[in-house]
Amino acid sequence: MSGVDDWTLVAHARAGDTDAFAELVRRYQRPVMQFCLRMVGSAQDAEEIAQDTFVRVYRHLHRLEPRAKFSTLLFGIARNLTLNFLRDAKRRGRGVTDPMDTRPHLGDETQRPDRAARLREIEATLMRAIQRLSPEHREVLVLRELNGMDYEGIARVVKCRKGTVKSRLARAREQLHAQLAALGGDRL
Amino acid sequence: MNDKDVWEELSAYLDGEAADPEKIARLLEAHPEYARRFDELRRLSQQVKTLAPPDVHPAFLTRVMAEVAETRPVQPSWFARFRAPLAAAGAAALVVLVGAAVLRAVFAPEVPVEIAANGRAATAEEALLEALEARAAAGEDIEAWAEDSLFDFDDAADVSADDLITGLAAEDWFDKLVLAWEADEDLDTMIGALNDYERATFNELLQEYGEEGMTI
Repeated sequence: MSGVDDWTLVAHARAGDTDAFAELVRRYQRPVMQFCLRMVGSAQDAEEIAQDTFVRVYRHLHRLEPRAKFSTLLFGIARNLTLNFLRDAKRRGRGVTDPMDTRPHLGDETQRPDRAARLREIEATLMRAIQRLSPEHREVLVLRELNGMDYEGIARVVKCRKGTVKSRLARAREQLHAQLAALGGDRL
Repeated sequence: MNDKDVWEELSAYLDGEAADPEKIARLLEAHPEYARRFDELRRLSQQVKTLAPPDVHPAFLTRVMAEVAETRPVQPSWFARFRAPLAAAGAAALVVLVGAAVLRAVFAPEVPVEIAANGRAATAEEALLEALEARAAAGEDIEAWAEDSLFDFDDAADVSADDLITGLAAEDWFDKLVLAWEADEDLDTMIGALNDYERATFNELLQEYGEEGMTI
């Protein structure tokens, strides 16, 4: 089923083929998890949000129409759920998890210990700097740099104009650059 | 170009999204300062890209599929109610029924009194559109209605059906609403159970449908 396009899989899933839906999950679980993790900063929370994203897509399969890319709708839901999470966390006075606790991908742990430690340090510094960006800047940065979306796709996911994506992304990079410098990450 | 514009154009150039890439290339050749900043941007981008996607445990798929197995998909009839033209006879009865209940229970504070009272609006959609027109004519900032909501639209015209689908799908209460509707629960009772925030969000969503010319 790996060669089948997303909307065909959606059509099969609508007809009750759960294998087709499982293929969609397999196809997008890593990028969705990547987006959620970088948005909320905690691996556990990101996993819950990613799971919720797929379940909601399933619940609303009959309402999805192939006017846009399936991934745009998927990331749109993930984005709304991460914003809900961040809003609720703010309301409860709970900050996002320290990125040191995120248990992110650390590369091959069998590498020399000093190299693994160095990778962990770089990743933690980057994560800390990204977490200091506002959600609206963080989301465009993550969608562009880590999910590889073009401006048109990002605009659809975050529901703004392409020109707004362009300016938010430039601002996000500017702020990230400053944050990394403040965290000593310019020496990374 | 001012400093901000330069950074913005360099950032777009890096992404292959510059409006005039040849012009930026010429700027980079002619101005070492721009070339230095572009190099900074490129290094920054490369650094961020080192954040590899997290490893996904095989149990993740199992958990999703287990939850899916217990999940009842929302049937198209519900969404068709939002999308089908009110003129469609079958949908119209349902739409008017629900629209009227929604207007009564949710929109009471939002639909201008004169419209609700004068009886010109025969349907929820008409009432909404009239409310929008009245507010626009009064010079009100329609975008401000979405303030503090999940939907940070830069332009009301950008709102599309897909936006609404992704927005609605992220709302727990909307799922509850759908399930209650499907279970033939009393809609008034159910809408009455929504808290202020949920009502306000529902309100915004329906207003946005109205702006898009969608039917309710």
